[in-house]
Amino acid sequence: MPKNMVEVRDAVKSFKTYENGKGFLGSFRRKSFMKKALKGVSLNVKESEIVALLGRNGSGKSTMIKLMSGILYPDSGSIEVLNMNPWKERTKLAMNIGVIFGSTHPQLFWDLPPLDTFIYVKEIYGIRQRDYDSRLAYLKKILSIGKVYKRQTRQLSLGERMKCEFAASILHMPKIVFMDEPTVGVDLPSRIAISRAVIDLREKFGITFVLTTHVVDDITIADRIILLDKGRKLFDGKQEELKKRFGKYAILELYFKPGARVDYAKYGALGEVFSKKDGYIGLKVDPDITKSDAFASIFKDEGIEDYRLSEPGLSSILESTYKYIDSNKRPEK
Amino acid sequence: MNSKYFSVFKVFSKNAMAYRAEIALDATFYMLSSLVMVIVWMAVYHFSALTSINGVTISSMTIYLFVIGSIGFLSWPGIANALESDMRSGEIASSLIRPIKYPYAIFIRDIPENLIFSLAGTLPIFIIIYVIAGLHLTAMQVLMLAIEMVLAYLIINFIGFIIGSLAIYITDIYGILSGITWMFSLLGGGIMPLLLYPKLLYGILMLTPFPFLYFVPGGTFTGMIPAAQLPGLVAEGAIWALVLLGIAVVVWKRVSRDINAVGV
Repeated sequence: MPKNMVEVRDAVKSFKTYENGKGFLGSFRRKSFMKKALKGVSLNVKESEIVALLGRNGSGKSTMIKLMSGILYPDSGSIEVLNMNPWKERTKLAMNIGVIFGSTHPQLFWDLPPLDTFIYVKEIYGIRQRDYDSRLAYLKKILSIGKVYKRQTRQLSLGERMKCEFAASILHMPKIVFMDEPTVGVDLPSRIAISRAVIDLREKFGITFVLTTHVVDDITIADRIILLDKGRKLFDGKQEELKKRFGKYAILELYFKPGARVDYAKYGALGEVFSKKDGYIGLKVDPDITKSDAFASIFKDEGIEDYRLSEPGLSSILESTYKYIDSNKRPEK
Repeated sequence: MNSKYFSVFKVFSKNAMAYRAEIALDATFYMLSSLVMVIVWMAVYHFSALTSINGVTISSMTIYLFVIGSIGFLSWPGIANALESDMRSGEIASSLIRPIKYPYAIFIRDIPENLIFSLAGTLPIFIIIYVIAGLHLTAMQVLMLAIEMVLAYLIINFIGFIIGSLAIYITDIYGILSGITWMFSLLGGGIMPLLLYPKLLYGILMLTPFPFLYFVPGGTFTGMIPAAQLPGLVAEGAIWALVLLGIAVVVWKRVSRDINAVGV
């Protein structure tokens, strides 16, 4: 049975924050209050797992990554990463973890080529020259950075920079890598390269990954999804389970002939309309709709040119999940 | 030095070298502030018709002002700005994920820029002044001067570290830093040699760390401080450096628990 790489129990973390009053004078009347970023979250991550931490902005994802990487400490609860207390044994833990903070907190030196950061990483982690050479060759190939890593970082595109950031976090072959929104604003080819590298590193070297993201394509590589909302864990399981719980519907897409008169009200009665354009309606419907008379009646309409019935995609399921949360019908923990 | 921290030094040296021309230019323009002070003092000597004030002549005053102007890298604790910037932007997070101790790293990463400043600005100006003014320093005075400069660097940066740590609570420390550096300048001999102050005040100030930033190195170079007093002053400077280091360690222990690198 794979061992636990991360074990978080009832983690609570609060921050002091401020709120201005209304209007111009309000900026002089600042109210401070404690905001609970995490309200007792427990989770674990197994060896060689890829776990996606999901949630809307302010749900506590980044705080959780910072707690696990030892940058912050919890107000209460306990956190163990590789059997170490991240806060108390930060420098020791840092030898065994990799962390990527998206494009906002770069690790690459802005005025130097990524190669200088790689050499710096090699030296501070004590990587042997032979290992460094082979790892760099591997990363250059899998991330396609061979042509860019010797150019000044400031001259690279965001995608190129993020691939080099990723390489700089992997060179020491950490046992676990925390990635906080690593692909925000990154172009598709670079996103694909990073995703492929994550999968390959897990398969070849058994590296564990925990990532936060809002990009659905990134989530698809995850073995497990942990959904946070307002500092609480709402879901922890496989994508299929999320689909079972929040994706109990089918997507019906109707295409109408050009110039056909469409009775939107009639079709809207079939389910929840999520998209409506000229000659097109997208609906969330009961998965068993094909057995209904209403579905059969669709084909009596001569205006219909084509239709498609499919399972909902992950982004649609997540949207439904957030709607469900907002309607205060909280799913069980 | 631990090899990890030598790597920090090397990479930040490379980074600083990307701006070497700008740093050298900074050093040169910094001298202009000395020129302003020299003109002010020329006017004072001219209109008071004095040839010497408390033993300080206009020529020794001019040399002194140029000397302290050339050690401008000792007058501003860059480490405080670095700490403030890291905390305000949250970039401290990028440093804390590495297997290095942040206070060591931030202290080391500021050294290369100051070395470039001192090699491209201070050293040539020292040599020019030495030759033009016809000064004579013994090997012991040169050694003492070198040690004093290192001590001054440690003192200003330990103070800078303590002030910079406040950024976690008040975010913008520029005002505090500006006020404090002006105070250092006034109390340390950055505006005029401390010899011109009342004797009691001079005696009190010489017991504080401030003269090590301006008056002690400037006075050693110009000969205003007798050579026999230098070893004692160096010992005092070393004690101050150790005391400030101790305070910085205590402050950091407190501050590091309060770091809130919120959001990304």
